[in-house]
Amino acid sequence: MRLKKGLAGIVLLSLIGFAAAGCAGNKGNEGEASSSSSQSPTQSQESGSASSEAPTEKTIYTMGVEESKLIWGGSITKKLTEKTGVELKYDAVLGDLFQKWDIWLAASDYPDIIRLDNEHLQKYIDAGAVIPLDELIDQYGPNIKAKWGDSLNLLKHDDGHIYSLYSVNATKEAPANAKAGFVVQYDVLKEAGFPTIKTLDQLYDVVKAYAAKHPKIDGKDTIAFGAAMNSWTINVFFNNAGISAAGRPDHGNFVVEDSGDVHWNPVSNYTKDYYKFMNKLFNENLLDKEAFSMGEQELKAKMAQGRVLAAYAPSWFSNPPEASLRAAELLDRQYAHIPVYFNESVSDHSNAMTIANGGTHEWAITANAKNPEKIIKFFDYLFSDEGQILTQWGIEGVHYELKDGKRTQTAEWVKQKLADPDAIFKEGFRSEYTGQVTNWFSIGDGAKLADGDFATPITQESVRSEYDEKTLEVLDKYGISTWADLLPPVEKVPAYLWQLPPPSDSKFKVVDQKLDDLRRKTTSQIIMAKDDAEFEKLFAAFVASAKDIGLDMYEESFTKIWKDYLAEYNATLSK
Amino acid sequence: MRSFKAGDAFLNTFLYAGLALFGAMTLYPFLNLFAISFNDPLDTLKGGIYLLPRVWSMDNYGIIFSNDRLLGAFTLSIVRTVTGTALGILCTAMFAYALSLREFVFRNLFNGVLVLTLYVNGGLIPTYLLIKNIHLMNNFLVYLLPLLVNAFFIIIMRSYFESLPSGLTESAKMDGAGHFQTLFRILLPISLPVVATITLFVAVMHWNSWFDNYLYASRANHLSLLQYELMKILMSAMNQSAGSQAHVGESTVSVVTPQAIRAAMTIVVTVPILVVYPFLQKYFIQGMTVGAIKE
Repeated sequence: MRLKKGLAGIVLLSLIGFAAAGCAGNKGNEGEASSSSSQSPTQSQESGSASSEAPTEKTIYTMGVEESKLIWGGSITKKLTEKTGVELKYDAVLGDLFQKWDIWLAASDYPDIIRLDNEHLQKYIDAGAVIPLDELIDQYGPNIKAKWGDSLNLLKHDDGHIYSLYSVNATKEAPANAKAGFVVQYDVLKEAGFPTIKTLDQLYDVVKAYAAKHPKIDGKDTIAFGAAMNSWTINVFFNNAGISAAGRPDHGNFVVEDSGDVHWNPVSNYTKDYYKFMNKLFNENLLDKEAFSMGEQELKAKMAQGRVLAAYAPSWFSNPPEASLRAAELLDRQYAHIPVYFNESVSDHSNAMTIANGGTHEWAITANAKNPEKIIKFFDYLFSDEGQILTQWGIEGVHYELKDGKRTQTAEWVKQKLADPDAIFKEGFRSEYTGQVTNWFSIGDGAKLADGDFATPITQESVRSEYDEKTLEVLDKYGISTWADLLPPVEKVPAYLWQLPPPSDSKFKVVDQKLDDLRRKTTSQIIMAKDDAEFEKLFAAFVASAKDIGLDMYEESFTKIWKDYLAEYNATLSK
Repeated sequence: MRSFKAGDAFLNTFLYAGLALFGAMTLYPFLNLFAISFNDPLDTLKGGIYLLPRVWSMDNYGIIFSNDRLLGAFTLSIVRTVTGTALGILCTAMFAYALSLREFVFRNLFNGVLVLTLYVNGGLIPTYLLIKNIHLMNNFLVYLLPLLVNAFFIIIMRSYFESLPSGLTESAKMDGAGHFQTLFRILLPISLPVVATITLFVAVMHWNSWFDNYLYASRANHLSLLQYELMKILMSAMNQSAGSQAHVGESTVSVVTPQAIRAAMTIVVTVPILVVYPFLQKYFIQGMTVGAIKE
């Protein structure tokens, strides 16, 4: 009897199931029907004369994006539709983007507008899935041309056509929220009487004095200098740190000489000098004992506990621990972000920037898009000063106001932003990434528009308004208004070496792996050397074994890549 | 009960201690996630959370449940799991029954085709094109139809049916039962262990599945499943913490730690499916002991 009931249950369930499936299926069909009817305006527009169409007539375009929080319907996106007649329907891809791009391409199922990286863009070009934009830009893109200026040729592909758009970097000075790579705790500076720290030796002196006086912080051992080595962190704390101290631009694990020759940084003098500094720290017991085995999480945890006095920690690494410190009201344990060099005579060229942000985030129009002129006009509007102000500052009177002729964010909007991290999405301040930290083809934080005012709300005033009182006090002692004041002006580089595709032959990969293994094995030994003689011996042995593995050929292949790129780059620019 | 010998007692202590240790080892990661999910996200960053939260907070769950699409996605996930499992078992049983009949003419052919699918499949893009061309894109049925039958489960069930005494079906036939009656009244009731096992597999498969959502229904928001919505929250938490690039850079509120969100999410997705286990446990034990026939 019970079994019978059970069976009846199963049958009933499956019946309900069928019913539910049927209903849901209908819903799905309705959804399709409505989306196809919403596309009908496009068709009707096409049949009508395209030139006489009013911009207020709305067209819905689909766009493939990565950020799933994007919505169309905030005050800014509404205004964009009002101005350009374009509404975007976001098709967010979660998970494996590359796979989805490939599937879309294979099934010709791509959205009207798509964001691709350069590798997939090439696939789409080869398949004829994206349309060339040069003539459209010529006709409808005065603002695109104005913002790109002389660099417009950089957009061109090998066949001479433009297929994608991305943002340019018009910034000449460091954005107000930029920070230098080395960090020192406020309390350490306070005890030392806020000295000027410019060299690693000076940094060494202050942390040594503080650590001697305070062997424990909050019941746990003080760590005078933090670092981590596990996985990718070796690149940051044992490679980038030395490059930063030398004032060189960040080409990853490489140093690019002015001559165009590429050298592997782990064997360079910069690394040697930096290892020497760490060796000194280690022998004085100032370097974290676990530095050689820790990873990202562990170092962040120690920083958040407030017991790491100093470190090389770029803001993207130090931001979360500092937020944790603020939340725990350990304001004294926050970090001053100071550029520190090997010696006084180092000239800093580390604040480098490329002309534009191609590579990973390029917007293209696919062959599925109807009336692409309208999309180009929409893009052109985004590049215009009016569009830049709308997408970065928002709407006058709501998100910003003019104070003494300068744009300033309104207090209510700042409050709203702080209360709800998603507010910027809801209002429409975010789009799919264009390669710039800010969105919507922004010309960058710290850049200025034709009216002489900043293009984005990252200004000294706005950055200072978000600092806590302790930070303002420390900045005051040094006579600066933001940490960005300590940075050198922006220098343009043709590219970063790590943006260029590395050699792909198998021999290269073997050498690459062997060099990495060697570096991981020997770095800790060199830094733990007991005296100078041993240090010199170990470092020389490290360089010798790197040469045995095939360092010369490795460097040559990168030099070739860099020089080839430079030649092409210069040729394109002067085309 | 017999009295224990000293050796037995020692062995038992040893075994139980070993098993308890093993149990603790498998339980610990889960407890740790549980603790992290209830801990303040900024405090979690400091590390050192083991069995209990240090600073109690519901923030992580707050972030997850503040998503207004989540309730709908949760319901849809349950509807999918329940209907998908019921239909799946039904179809699997019928398929397996047909294959277990000796008089079925195409038995070997079907068996061969079935086994073939275990080794070869259409590949991602052809499958995508198939689904697109039969108009299942952005349709709820895409969650159910492709998973209705699964060669592996059919083979398991067929073998089970075949292992039952043939007198069983014969006597049913003699008493005038048709195929459906034989299957539903005679075979399935005594096959509960295998049905329970397959139910569990299918239910977990449906519950965990998000790839078909990503692949075939990403353009239909109303068809989002729980796993997919949670994935969205996690991805944007990771994006935010990676960049901390928002204009709200320096403020504490904007910092979402992916570690804490991930922990809360794991709890959210694990608990509902965990509920299924105790219900099925019964059949694993009971099913074997049902006496069916006396020979």
